Amino acid sequence: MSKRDGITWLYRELPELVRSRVLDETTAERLREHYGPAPRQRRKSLGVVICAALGALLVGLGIILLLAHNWTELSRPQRTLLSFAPLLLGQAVAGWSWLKRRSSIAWCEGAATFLLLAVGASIALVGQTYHISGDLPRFVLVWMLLGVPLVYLLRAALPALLYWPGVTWWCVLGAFDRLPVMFFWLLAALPLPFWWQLVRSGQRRLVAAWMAWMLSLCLAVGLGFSCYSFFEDFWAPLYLSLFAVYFLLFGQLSVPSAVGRPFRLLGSWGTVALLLLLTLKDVWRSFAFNPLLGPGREAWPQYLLLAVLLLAAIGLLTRALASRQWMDTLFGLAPPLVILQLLAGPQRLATGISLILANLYLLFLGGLVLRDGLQSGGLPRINAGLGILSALIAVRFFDSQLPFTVRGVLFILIGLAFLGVNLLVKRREVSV
Amino acid sequence: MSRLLGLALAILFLLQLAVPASMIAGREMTLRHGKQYRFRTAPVDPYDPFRGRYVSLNLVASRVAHPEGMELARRQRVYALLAVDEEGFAYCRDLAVDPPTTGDYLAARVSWWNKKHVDLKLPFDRYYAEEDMAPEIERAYRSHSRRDKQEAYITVRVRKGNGVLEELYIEDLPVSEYLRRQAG
Repeated sequence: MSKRDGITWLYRELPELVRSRVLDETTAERLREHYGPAPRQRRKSLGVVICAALGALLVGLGIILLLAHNWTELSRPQRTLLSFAPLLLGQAVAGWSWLKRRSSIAWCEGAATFLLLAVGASIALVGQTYHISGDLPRFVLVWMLLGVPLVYLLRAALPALLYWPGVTWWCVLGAFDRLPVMFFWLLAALPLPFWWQLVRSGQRRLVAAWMAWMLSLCLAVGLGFSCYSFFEDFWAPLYLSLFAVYFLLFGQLSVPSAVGRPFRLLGSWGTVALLLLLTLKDVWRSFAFNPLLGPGREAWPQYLLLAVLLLAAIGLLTRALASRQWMDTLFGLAPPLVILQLLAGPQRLATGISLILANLYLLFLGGLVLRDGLQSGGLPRINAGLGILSALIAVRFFDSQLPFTVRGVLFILIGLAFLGVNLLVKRREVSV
Repeated sequence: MSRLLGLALAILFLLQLAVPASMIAGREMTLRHGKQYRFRTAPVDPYDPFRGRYVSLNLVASRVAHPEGMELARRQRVYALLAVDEEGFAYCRDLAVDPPTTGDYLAARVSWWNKKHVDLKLPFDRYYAEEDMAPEIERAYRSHSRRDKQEAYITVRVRKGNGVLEELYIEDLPVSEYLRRQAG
């Protein structure tokens, strides 16, 4: 028993000891003074969980290597039986953890991770024994689907952290093989309730934040690949809508900041990056060749997805407007405006005007972020504003016809402005 | 509630076991009761780090003449009717969109086609081997699969459209035996 546990035990016992007259109240008080305030309940140490999961990973891989080492010496039936070894071992560990150690996060996470890997290992070993030729997307999909229930049954987050990249990988592979990759959205949604429960309950914040990073990245990758067949027509409106939903939704939900951060970051910078692309003439030219209403009826899944994302973005936008969050409003306005521009097309809205609008939009956005930062004195926000403005200027100068010397001088001036503003803000902070 | 969870976990474990078991069952049936064919190989090779080391086989039989008026799509499932040439090697004599009622056939996917030929992805195109043996096999396989001398072939068992690779032969010897003799 460590000293801390001892003190905790003593403080628990003291009232009872006073009641049964072993100690009097003053002695009890003196004891409390001597040992100081009661130690806080120790959190489940993250280290233990990480070690358990890593240990499970290494053991699993080690077993596979041992099996592989004597592979050729074994007859086919022996190999076949051995293919089940990792799976059965994983199931035994998972079953035991579920029966005996259900309250231990480390056991459940480790066992679930080990079993998820064991499922993949077993299928791959059978595939090798029978020289089954590769259908990698199918293998990945079956593997992930056999693993994902572990998230709920063992209340384990690590399988979900492996599952999301897994189904994204299936989506990427499937796009090249012309599989129905729109199902990616359904697949990605499977662990969502578990994650949301973690976020709402405020437990295991670090894991919830990791899951938020993984989810936001995987959805962003999956969006492009799940719409691969009409990507040229849809990429701009789809990604703008997704990023707007990311940014607005997690600005309005009351979630821990660590959980919201990946969505806010990806949403804001993704929007800025796309808007920068929309200030290029060639991009608008490509839109003229691939009008948004061009694909027609066969692109209904893409239209549906776009409609869902866009309506969500507009709904969130109206809320942001009502609560006068101007920054969020400005970020959220991008998708509906750009989609209107795209629908108008170069016939009703000259490309030149679209370009001017995109430039003005970014200029305004950068200015607003910068002003917001200067008012609140937050250096990250000031730099974000400056970053948007300088990126805009940089892009303009790269695709303009100005001579190199002029460009060089302008870049130096932008850099100096950056440094100057940062210095001023720092000084102001010091003098306050 | 806890009992239900336990039941769900048990069902999941059974499903996890069922997938490799079903993979095994179908292929064991084919290996035991299928008819044996020999397929000539032609050279090629990639490397799939994900599923262990294997030798990639390029089969002569995977190229079929394009039947008159047959509409094809990428990755479409087709059925290749098998026949044996005078040297005793299998080739695909015809393609069908539906499984044929007579004769042995293989279910395959279309990977590429033009007016003359159709290239098929047959259900066996790799030979898995142990990590340190695979490069050796690959070397032996390549040196025997050149255009001028083609003594490399595989034996495959075929049953009800399924084909399972049995063994890779070089100079009429199973590859492990061939390598043992080369070394000794």
